Amino acid sequence: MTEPSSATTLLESLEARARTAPAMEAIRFEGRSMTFGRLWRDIDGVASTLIERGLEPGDRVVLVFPNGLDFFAAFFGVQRAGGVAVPIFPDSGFERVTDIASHCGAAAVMTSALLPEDKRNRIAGLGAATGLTVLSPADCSATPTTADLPVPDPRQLAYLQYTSGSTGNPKGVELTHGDLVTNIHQMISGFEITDDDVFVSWLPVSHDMGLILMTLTPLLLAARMVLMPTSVGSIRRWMTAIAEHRGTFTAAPDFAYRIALRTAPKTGALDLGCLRVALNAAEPVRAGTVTAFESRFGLDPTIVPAYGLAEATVGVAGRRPGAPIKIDGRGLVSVGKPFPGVELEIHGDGGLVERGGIGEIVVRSPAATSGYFRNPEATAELLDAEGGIRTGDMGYLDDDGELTIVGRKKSIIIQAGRTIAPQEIEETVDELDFVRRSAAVGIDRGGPEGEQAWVFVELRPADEARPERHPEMVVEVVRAIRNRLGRRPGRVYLLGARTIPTTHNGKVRHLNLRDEYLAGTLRADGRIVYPEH
Amino acid sequence: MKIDSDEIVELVRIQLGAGDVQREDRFQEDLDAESADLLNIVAAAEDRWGIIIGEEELVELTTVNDLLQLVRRRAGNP
Repeated sequence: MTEPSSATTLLESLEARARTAPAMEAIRFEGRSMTFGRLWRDIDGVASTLIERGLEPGDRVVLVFPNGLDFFAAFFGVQRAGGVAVPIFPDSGFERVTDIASHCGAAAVMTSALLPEDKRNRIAGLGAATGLTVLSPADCSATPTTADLPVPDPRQLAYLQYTSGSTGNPKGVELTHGDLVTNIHQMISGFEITDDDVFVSWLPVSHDMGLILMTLTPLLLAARMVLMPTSVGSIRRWMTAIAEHRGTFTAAPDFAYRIALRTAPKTGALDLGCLRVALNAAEPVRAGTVTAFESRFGLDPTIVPAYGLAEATVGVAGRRPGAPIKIDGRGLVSVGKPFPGVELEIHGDGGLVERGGIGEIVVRSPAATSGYFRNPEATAELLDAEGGIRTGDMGYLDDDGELTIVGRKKSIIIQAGRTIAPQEIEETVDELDFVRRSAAVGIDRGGPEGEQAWVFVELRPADEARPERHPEMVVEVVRAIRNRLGRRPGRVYLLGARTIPTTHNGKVRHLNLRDEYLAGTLRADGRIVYPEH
Repeated sequence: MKIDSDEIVELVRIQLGAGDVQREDRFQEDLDAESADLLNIVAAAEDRWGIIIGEEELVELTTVNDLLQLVRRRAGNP
């Protein structure tokens, strides 16, 4: 009989857990909990219903679910039926749902009872119009008939992680059952995770870090998992939830820690001493955030910078828990050593660069994707001849073999021969109190000044409504950058709230922003609030 | 096109992140502007008023007032 945590697929582990510990809590969400026994019955219910409706092995099923208990029955139910789960960010526009459903040739779409009714109705309408099966876990059989279903082979596709990309170039990362378990074990080792850990997460289950690290990992280990809805309100309640559930492991991008710092109840009321790992990944880790967070809550080193990408399943590298952060001469934070089994290479134009040199990060991992689903061109760009992932991220390996991310391959700014990582500027600007988010891009308008750092500053709504202060805000931005870099930026624009293009997990899309500026759409759309000309 | 001197002064001020700027101020000595800053000021003025200022004209730029005169000339607005 398989030991649950030594299973080669998550399904195998969940089945064993349902058999050996059916009454054990698997997931807690908003005060409700689901046991392993109940989870497995629901998984079987979804699987048998999908098969009744004609699902064939390898068929794709799009999942439109906010965080909630019913997501897991759907995600694993599809796999249990031999299908491939395709979770989509539930706030995605309807067009994105239809684009992805069509790109992956979905056989069915599953929705959650927790989705807003108008969204569910539109998706049901899509089913009626196209003949696509649309159902939710609540529609599925309570008396499943799947006892003799084969257990999927670890080499079979389990799910597609669509990453943000243009409509014309959809990128669904192919991940197998084996990739998931392999990467989970890499992260367990790197972050020293045990079944004593208590996971607290509001990250979306529709995306890699929220799904694989924050829910599939505790499910494999049967560690406690407290899931919250994904909303700004949850970010405010996040720290309180960690204190209340004595959470030991959480994860979020840097901006969430910055928000948490501003919104958490004042010190004294909140004891976060339980926290062992507060993972900081998916966007540049800022030394200022780490220091402010740990000192604000009186913590020993707790924030753990890490690096990953969907093409490597999720996790690639991480700092050792409990170690203080390591900051280089540029102020950039190390994201640690690669996980066991992962190799990192730094490539320049002429091949491998020497230790310490900056270049594109190439990842070799047994959990690396085989490519993008039905997109051979993008796959050929992604993978080198040996299956290594060209990440498009720039970084270097230091003398200890630790990785530091310097920026994206193409968003690096070169101003008068000096290489500037956009995040160095953004980090500085975002500390100003009127700034919601900023983005620095290299723009060469063809003048004698050459490429310069142009800074786009998204204001908080209250500050957007105070035009008389806008000139002073620009002055402050220029001064802050000069204080940090010793140079002034080429140009500063103040933008209205929510106008900087970002990916689903909050990374600034520098190239899109630059293109939108150069095409004149930023101005034409009224997104630039200052200067007015 | 009428070019208001206050607008030029304000453009210089926000480009440099300066507290107060006068028309008589010299870019280098009074405003602590480097050559790259001056180029960026000229670029911003070009974009603002849709004009082109030749590189050779930059050498005559010592004060904010010089910039005002240059921009007005280029904009056909002496």
